[in-house]
Amino acid sequence: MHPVIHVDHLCHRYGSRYIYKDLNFALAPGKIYGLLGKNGVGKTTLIKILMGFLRPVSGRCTVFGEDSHALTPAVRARIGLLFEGHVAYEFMSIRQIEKFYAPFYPNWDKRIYYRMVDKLKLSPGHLIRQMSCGQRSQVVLGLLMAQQPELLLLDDYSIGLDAGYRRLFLDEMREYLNLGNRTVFLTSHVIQDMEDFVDEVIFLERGGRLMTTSLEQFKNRFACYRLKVSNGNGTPGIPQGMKREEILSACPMLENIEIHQDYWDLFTFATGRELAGALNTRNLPGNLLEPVNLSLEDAFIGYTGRY
Amino acid sequence: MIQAIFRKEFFKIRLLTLFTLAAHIAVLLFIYVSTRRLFILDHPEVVWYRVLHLGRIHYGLLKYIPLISGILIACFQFLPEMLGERFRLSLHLPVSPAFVALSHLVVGITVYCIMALVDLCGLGLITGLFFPWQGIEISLLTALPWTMAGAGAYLGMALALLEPDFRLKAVNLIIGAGVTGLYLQNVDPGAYGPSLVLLIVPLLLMMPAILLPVLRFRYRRVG
Repeated sequence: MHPVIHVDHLCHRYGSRYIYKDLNFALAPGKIYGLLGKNGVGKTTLIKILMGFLRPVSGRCTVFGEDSHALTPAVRARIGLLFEGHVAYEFMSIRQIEKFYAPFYPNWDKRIYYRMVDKLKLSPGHLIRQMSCGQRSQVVLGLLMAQQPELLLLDDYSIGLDAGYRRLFLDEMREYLNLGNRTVFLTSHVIQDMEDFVDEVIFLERGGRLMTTSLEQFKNRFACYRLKVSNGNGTPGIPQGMKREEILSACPMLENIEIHQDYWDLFTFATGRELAGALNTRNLPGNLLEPVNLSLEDAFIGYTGRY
Repeated sequence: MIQAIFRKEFFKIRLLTLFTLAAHIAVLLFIYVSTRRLFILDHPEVVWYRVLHLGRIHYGLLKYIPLISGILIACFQFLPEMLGERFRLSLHLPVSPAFVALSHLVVGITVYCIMALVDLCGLGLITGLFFPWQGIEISLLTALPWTMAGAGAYLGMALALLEPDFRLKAVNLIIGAGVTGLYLQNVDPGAYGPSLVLLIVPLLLMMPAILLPVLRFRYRRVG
């Protein structure tokens, strides 16, 4: 089966700052992918490249088999794109914006749009500029769904939405995905929303390092172990003044370390036993490792780092 | 599809169009009153001598009105598109970017032409009430370059607003100002007459030039 999106040796930079040097991944049809990463890792840039709003410095991106910087109108008609911030023509009303988009899409279904927008209990003449961010998101999502696209690209759909509107957004999306053979590629800062929603997550890190996994696998395998800092009176723990890099070089299985005043949190995909063994070889008390329960958000921050 | 774009543009500039049209009509009324005043204060032969032989312009107020209208139409059309880069919404539609850009331009140019036509017809009518055919001809030949200046201002402003690169924005503004200035030189009434056909060329060239900033906006390379 041909991938919906194929990114091959993608390289992009702003000035001399490289965002990606060799990014590679492919999205299979019919799945929901979440692109996760901290601010500035290039999530929006990637969406812009995929939709041809930016040309990459090198490498190739294809969407439905066409080069992303030369998408034909026929392929664009198969893609629903949500711009970051729920960008919409705010000078139009609910009815006017539906009439604007409808002629461009052959599969346009205005019943879908009005089913979603009617939940807002606003008159069809209500201007978008007079709506809250959440209300606007519902209108924009309604427009995307009415297109009935095969591929949905949602750039930071959660921005500016409260918990209720985020839930509504995801519920509407689930309903839409039930129609089958739809692929969704979304970015978000709110990792909890991904739980029970996405099939696979793509972690994007600075420099373009990438990890693709299922959320279930990530939750099961990624772990945090806490190790106390020695107070200097002979109590066992991490010696005061020890450098982060020393432990990272001693334990290559560590993904990240968060340093607190009294303890260090060590994040790894390895088991506690493997980590303890590696610490023991450096005369550190691996036996004192305490497993820490992680929420999905804790795990995400543990993996990507706090800053 | 083109109707959808026309409708969208209409929503953006309908109020501005009404206000600007009202302003143009108000200026024409003022010109009518001041022309009539010339004939009340002086004998008709003196007024005719001043206007037809000495080249006095009694409708000078009309010189910069098209210019302001052209700039305003471009701003009302393209500023909402460029704020938050909303133009991406139109450029993601399943039609070619050239189609999108030129449809926008057709709306702006049409609205501007209506205003220019109101100016020229109004001026012709007012002049015809007080002067012979020669007076109408001179006044229209004098005002026509001014309306062309408004078209140049509209196109120059559109070029500058749509351009994503700030340096090229400045270049487009300079080009727009240069072309506009060409039509606003202080010359004798009707002096542009023989060269009007040639003076249309810069405007015709600026119309397809709008595709350059639009395509640069659509397929940007930042690196």
